[in-house]
Formats: sequence, C-alpha cells, structure tokens
Amino acid sequence: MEKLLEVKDLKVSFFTDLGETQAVKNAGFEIEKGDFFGIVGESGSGKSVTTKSILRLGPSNCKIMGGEILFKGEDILKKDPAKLREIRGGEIAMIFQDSLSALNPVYTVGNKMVELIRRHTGMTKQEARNRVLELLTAVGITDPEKAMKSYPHELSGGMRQRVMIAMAMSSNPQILIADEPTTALDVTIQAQILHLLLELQKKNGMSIILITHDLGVVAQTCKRVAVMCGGYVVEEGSVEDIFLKPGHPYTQALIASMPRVGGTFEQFLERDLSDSSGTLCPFLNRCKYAAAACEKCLPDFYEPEKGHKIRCHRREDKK
Amino acid sequence: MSKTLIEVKDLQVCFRQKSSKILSFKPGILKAVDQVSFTIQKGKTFGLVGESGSGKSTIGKAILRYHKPAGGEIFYEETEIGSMAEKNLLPYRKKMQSVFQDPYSSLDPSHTVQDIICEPMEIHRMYDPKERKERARELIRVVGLKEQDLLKYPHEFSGGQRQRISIARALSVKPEFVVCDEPISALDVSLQAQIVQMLQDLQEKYGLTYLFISHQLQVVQKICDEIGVLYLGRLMEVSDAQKLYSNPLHPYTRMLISSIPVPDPRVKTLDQIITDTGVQSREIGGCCFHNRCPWCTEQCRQETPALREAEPGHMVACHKY
Repeated sequence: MEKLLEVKDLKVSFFTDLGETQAVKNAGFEIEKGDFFGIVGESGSGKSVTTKSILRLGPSNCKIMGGEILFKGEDILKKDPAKLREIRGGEIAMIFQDSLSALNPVYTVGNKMVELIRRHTGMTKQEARNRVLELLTAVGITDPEKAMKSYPHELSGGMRQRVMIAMAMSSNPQILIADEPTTALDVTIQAQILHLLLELQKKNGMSIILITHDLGVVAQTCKRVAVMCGGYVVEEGSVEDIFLKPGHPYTQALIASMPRVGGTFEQFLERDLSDSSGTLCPFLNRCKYAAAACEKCLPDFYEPEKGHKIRCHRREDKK
Repeated sequence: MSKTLIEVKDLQVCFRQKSSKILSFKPGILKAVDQVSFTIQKGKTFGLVGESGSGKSTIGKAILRYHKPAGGEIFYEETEIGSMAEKNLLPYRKKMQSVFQDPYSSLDPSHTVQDIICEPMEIHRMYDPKERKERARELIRVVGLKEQDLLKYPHEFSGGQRQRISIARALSVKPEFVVCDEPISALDVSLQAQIVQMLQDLQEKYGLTYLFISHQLQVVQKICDEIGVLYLGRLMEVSDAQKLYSNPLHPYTRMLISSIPVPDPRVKTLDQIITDTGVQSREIGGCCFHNRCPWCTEQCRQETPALREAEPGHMVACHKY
C-alpha cells in the first residue's frame, strides 16, 4: 500500500503567560491510501492539536517544536504559506465538530461554497454552482437548491455537518480530517453521517482521519486506530487489535470505562490532571501495573504483531 | 409499596412562534410537549430520552414550573402545582432543584463557590449565615471537592468539578426531587462514570428522586429505574429500564437503540439502519413517527395512537400493539 501521510515524532507546545505547555510530546503514525484511521483519547490528550498541526491550523501561540509531517514524501512543515494554502482545503480537507461556528454566518451556504470552489479550481460562477448542487446531492441533502439559499443557522445540526462534508469534498481531497464530526449530533443522525463518510470514502478512495472520544464510533468505522494519552501515541494497531487485544493499560481502561447498552460501567478511568514532565509514561499515575521500571524512563514501542505497536514497559511479564 | 412523588397528567406545553408568513400578526403556536403522562415513584429515577427537539428538557422545566403548562396537571405528592400561582410556589421550589447540562454557563462567574452554594439557602431563609457556611463546607466534601475550593471562582475549575459544584448547590436546600437535565453530556467519557456514580450515591444517602434527562441511551439505562422515550413532544414508550433495552417495542425506540455504535469491530451495525430517510415533522397527521417508521400502515397515517399497556409495566404508543 502507498504511504500517503507520515507523522514522525511530532512535538507541539503552547506558549502562554505561564510558560510552555507541551500539548503533544511524541505523536507518530502513518496513513495509507484509502485508510480509515481513528485517533482516540480523552480531552487534553493532544489528539486535536496533532491533526490541526498537519494543516498548521493551530492558534498563534501554538508552535511545532519538532518532528516531521510527510505528505507524499514532502515535509509540510517546511512548505511556504502559498504552497500550504494549496494543500489546505485542496489535497487535505478538514471538518470540525461545531458546524455552526465553522461556517460563516453572514454568507449563504451556496455563496460560500461557490467562492471556495472558484478559489481552488478557477471555474466560472455557473460551473461552480452546478458543482455545488452536485456535491450537496452527493452528501444526501434532498433539496440542494433550498440548502444553497440558506444561512447556516437555518439548517439543522445534521444538515450543517453534511454541508461541511460537501465543502470538504469539493476539491476531491486525498485526505479528509474529521475532528469529532458527530459528537454534537443525535445518535440517529450520527449513524447517518458516519454511513455517509464510509460511503464517500469507498467511492472516492480517499483516506479519512477520524478524531473522536467515542470508541463505538471507532469500532464501527475505522480500520486502524491510534490511542493518545497525555500527548503521546501509546498504542497503534488495527481496530481488531485495539478492541480485542488491547495491550496498553490505558487502552484497556478506556475500553472498560465505556458505557455500553446492556452492560455496566466496569471500571472508572480517573482523570489525571497533573502535568508530568514528559520524560515518563503519561499513564504512570493511574496505571495499576506501574512498576519500578516505569518510574525510570519513558517506554519505547514494542510490536507483539506486525502493525500493532504498544508503548509500555510491561511486555515481558505479559508473555 | 413505594409512594408516588411526581405525577404528570396529559401535560401540554406550548410556545409562541413567529409566523412563517410575513405581515401576519397571528402568532404560530408550537406544541413542544403534548399529552404526556407519567409518574415518578419516591426514591426512584425516571429517565427521559429522545433526540434534540423532542421536548425532554421542556418537560423537566415544566415540572419545575420554569414554564407554565398550557394544559394538563402536575402533582407533587397530592398537590397540583401545574396551575398554582407563582406566589404559592416557593415551598415547592425548595423541594425541587435542578442540575443543568452546561457547567460553564450555569454558574455565576462573579460569585465564589461559597456564594453559589449559599445563595439558595439565603433565598429560602434557611439557617443563619454561620450555619450556611458550615453547610457549604459539608456539601463541598460530599461532592468530592476540598474546603479551600469554596473561596475560588468557577473559572478555576474543570467541567467535571463545576458539575460537582452545581450538584452541591442543588443539594444545599435539602430537596426531595432533582431534575438532572443532561448533567453529563458536556463531560469527558472518563468523567461521566464518576458523576453518575456520585449521583447514585447521593440518591441513596439522601433518598432523592431524580428526573434524568439525556440523549445518551447507554447512560440512561445505567441509572434509571423507568424510562420514557419522547419523540416530537409525545411519549412513544414508557417502560422499566431493563425491559426497554431487552425488548424495545416501539419502532422509534428500536431505531434509537440500533443507532448506538457498538464498541466491537466484529459487529458492524451501521449498514442496517439506513432505512431511515424521513425527517422529523410536526405537521404530519396520524402517528407523528409514521414517515420514518418501517411498519407504517394506512391506520398510522390517519389515527394518532394512544399510550397503552402492551404488557405489564410496559406502555407503548403504537397501533401494532
């Protein structure tokens, strides 16, 4: 399979009056063509910051401190702003959780989308209009003419998310980054949007990066998953590896703490708000297996099987 | 035999709406809640689930009398409070408290935690100032925070901690009944379990009765004894919590349950549910769900089904039963 995007040892920090905060300490993963890749973790684990860094969309006080982001072999971090703008919304598109604040309230949906398409393709107004109608139909909007004339606040949450997806799809991106696209939606609408994403991915052969904290969503859609905790990727593997043979204690705890229909909360996952210096395992304070080795250094990845990587010291006694 | 604490009979709540016609002076009326009846037993938890716009929060607010019902009755023990005059309501406002969804906007940013917890006691003229502070100290420990947190301001706390403060505030006046309106929806998964556990512990400790409103069925099932499923302001199904999940009767309940993504990659559920293409619509006659229903018949388009008992303790509003 062709390697499309490679994130290597990414480090991102925020600079505030109180000094530097390392949001992402070491994140790395690879995305192949046609992949459906999930990134899971609690809030504050650095999953959003990681993906925003791919497009360099972080706020102004956010700085990428190290690492490489290779898109088709070229480092995005070294590109100049003009080149970056072509990739952004062109080859790599993104959709966000809060569709109301992500859409411009003073433009109609049609207006905004025509502008976007013309900016990227140089089509005439009429051509762009036709393309918009085509796109809105493709994302399952039944009355695209009416949707084009609507302002974002006039549409429901599910409709707005469809519009966002249509906008992202307008340039036939190779990678679509979806940052919690269904968290604000009702379950029935969530199912429809996820189904739509799966369908679009099959049809266009693009890769999707899905960021979520809902493990159910991951299990239903993703092929491969990275689990993030405290700014580190602590486990990466196929969706079967992660759910059926979770290796990292954090992944195990995350799965056990999920509310399930017909089950009970088996275990709580306590929050850990203490800021570790980043030289030790991020799960150390909450880990029930914590041992002497864990307090000495940060564990490296080991691979119990090909493609399943776990960042934990506990490899020997597991065998 | 448990006692009934809250009884809602044929509740109707309406909102005035701007007419869609320009220059029309006749305001439109939106029936947010229509013909809703249920009872809540003392010491139990009743859950209300439904999609956004189904009227679940409106029912909670109507019971608390933040909204005046347009029709129907609400009984608190034996007293009818649905149409009671505002000035007589104060003692009931003390017995009924609420915890809201958004822990960021429901706490006054210019008050310290101590002020926030003491304010309801001041309003209801409970205790003298010294005792109030003593009680605030006690409550903050009950909800798992520290005494020194009392002098901090809300912005210094995380979402989960703020929700704990909201709960402490609700408990300050020793209520019997608490409306929890999506208390954990804004929280991280790892925190949800903690808050749910705390609510359950408090219920046991103080003998509280809850109305628990949520759109997350997985969560509601854990803490509720009985659950009502709402769709467009009408109750579709009311049942014992376990039965609702093991044997959902109404097609809408089935749809909701099957839409929950199963956290197991071996069971793919997404492909099965896309039969649903209809949109929520209040305008259609007959059963309000018929345009999304896989079992829809001619009768469903004509007649609105009433909520009736399909099996003991399991009510459903569907012509099929």
